[in-house]
Amino acid sequence: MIFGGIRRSIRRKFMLVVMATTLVALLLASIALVTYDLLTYKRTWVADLSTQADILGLASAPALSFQDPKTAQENLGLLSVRPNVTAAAIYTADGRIFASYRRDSTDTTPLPARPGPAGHEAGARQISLFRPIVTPDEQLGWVYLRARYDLTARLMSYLAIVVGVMLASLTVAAIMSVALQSSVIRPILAIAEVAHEVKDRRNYAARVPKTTEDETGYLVETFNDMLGEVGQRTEDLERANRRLEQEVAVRQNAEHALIQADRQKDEFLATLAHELRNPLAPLRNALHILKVAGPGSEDAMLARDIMDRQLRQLVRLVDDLLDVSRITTGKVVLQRESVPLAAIVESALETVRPFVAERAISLSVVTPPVPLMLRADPTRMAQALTNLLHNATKFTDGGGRIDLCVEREGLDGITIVVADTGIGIPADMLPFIFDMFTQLDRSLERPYSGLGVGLSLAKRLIELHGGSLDAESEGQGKGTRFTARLPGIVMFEPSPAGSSTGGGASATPARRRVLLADDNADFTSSFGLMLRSMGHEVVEAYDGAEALRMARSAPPEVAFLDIGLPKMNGYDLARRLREDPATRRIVLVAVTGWGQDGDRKLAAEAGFDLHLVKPVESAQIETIFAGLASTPLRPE
Amino acid sequence: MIRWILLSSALVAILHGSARAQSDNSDLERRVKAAYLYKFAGYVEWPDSLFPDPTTPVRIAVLGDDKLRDELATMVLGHTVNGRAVVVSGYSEEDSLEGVHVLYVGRQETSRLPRLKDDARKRSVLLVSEGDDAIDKGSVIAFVLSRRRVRFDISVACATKSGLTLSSRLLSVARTVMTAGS
Repeated sequence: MIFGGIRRSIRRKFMLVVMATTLVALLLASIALVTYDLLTYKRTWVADLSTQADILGLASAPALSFQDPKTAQENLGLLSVRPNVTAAAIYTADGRIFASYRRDSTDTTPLPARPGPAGHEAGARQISLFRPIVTPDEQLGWVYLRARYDLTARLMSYLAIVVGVMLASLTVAAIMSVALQSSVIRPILAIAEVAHEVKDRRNYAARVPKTTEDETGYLVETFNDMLGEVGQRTEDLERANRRLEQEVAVRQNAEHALIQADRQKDEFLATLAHELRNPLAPLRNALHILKVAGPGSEDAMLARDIMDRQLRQLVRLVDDLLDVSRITTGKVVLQRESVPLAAIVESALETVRPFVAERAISLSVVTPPVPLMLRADPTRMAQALTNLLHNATKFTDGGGRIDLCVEREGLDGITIVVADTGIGIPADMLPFIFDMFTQLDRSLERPYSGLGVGLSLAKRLIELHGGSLDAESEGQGKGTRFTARLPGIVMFEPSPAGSSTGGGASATPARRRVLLADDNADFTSSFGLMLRSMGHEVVEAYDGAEALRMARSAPPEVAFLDIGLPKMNGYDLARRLREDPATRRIVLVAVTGWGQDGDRKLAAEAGFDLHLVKPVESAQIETIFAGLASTPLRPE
Repeated sequence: MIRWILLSSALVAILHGSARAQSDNSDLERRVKAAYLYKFAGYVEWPDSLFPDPTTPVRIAVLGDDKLRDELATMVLGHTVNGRAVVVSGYSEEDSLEGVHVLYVGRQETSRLPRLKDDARKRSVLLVSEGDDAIDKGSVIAFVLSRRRVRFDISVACATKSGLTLSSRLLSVARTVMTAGS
């Protein structure tokens, strides 16, 4: 462990403090005790010996008085019960030794020849004293006592005791300090541990558990608060850092996009120059031929054709550029009118057919059986379709195939699909192919690379018409499929099927037989009046059964049917009319207050051709009849 | 005759010599006895009636030994017993034992002990005499010579009969302590 050394250091210091305190206290106490005891010991010992001497003197007073040393000797002999007393003597009043005593032979010091003075004399190893023997009337003599006074031995035994007590105390102190350590050191160790974890793993959520309420507990609390603060600040910093990184990324992307745009612009300019120059060489050659060849000759004709084609190409380029400019600045205004879809398709096909033929690509066109009308700007719509077809032609090798498929989608939607077997589009490029100036193939071998604005223009034009344009490709070499959807602008094509004239809508409408069925008499009468004013022949019915009967007796060309009809609702009526061969070809128009997708779907399933939502505008009616202009019956 | 005289003179001389020797010995002996006599007083407890006053001296009467009496009188000068002065006097049979604490009966007068005994006991007088038979004759303490030293015997019974209490410390230095006695 990294802080093992620290832990040991704190433990050792703690132990040292406890031990040192205990040791010093014990030493001082011991010194005081021993000093006191030794002093007391001497005093007590002297007092004890004095008492002993007095008792001896008292007991021996008669012996002295009556000259009986034997008794005195016997009295002294009693000292044998006091092992410390090594020698004793009784002196007469005139200073002669009257009786004496020696414990054993170890004390060889001679007894004092003369007594006195009274008092004690303490040596290093022994203590001696003289006490006078007095009666109230006179002094009879002296008692002399000599005893062992082994201060050193006593000191030694004291030292032994002190050392023993110290060892025991220090052991107890050590045990107690170990026990106390846990309460003081453990929280500090916990702090160290958490600090370590924070430092190593940057885990600012770590907290030290608070176990005590003392200063250490306060330290733990403060440490935890600090951790929280640091964690919060770090988090803020990191968040700010992330935001900065994001901003930098955004700026880098923007910069990258700018560089990309700049490069695209450069490329576009280069391509433009190239594309503009391309037709110039054939033009110059053709002009040269015209100069040298005789007018009307075959070469002159060829040259004229070349010049015509190249000029048209130049014009188209310039037109594209102008369109790009207009669309980008939002200056394109659609001039909508009712126009047959077939005319638009034909117009587009006419433009691309020479290129298709030139490259030996097979082109198949599938159009719906029902003639359709669009409310659209014919020129723009044709331009969009032409661009799609041009694109398909450009990227399809000779011998390839292009499919143009026009379909109805529901009652009021059209899809135009342009699919080719060309080089396809890599999946990562799909999102960018509609960007302005995008070119997938920058190889010089491509005979026709263009400006990179065709698809972009097509998409924007279709979107201006309220539609959408999508591209799909299964990958490089697997062809591309463009799908244009144009919603809510379906009309019947007025001209006979296959007609390619664009002006069908403006032809004078023919007189039609019309069945009008609605239970609202006001609506039938006003609507009937309007139809009659347009010159149509109108019969009116007020319920489903009546309408069915009238349709069977004299089938009309067009029937406007309410859905909520009494007796037989509009859906059932339409089905019945479709079942009967006699009435099958009537153009059925649902006129209802419900305009939801579900209602349109139900109407289409029941067999209605069109679905109008009340109130009905006269313009809508006119468009319908314009589409019907010269086709009195539905195609089989 | 001369022979007798010579003999007698020689005898006298011998006697004299022995008497002198006797005299030297007895001087010392007498002095010891005198000292003992007044020291005995320190170990004896008399009835309180004998000391009506704190200053009442201890009276020691000596019968039949004037030399000892004189010796003692000299010795006690300036000495006290239990703080009391000591008064020494001679004693004759006519004298009363009134106020006497210690009566010493010399060797020559021991025959008078039986007669003195009763009065002494009645008056709590410590009777001190001499000889091995003195106790039997009624003496409380009797000096004896033992190995040429002056010792004494004590009869606790006689002391009790006299109304005296003897300190055990005194008994400890006696040659013999007798519990019997007349």
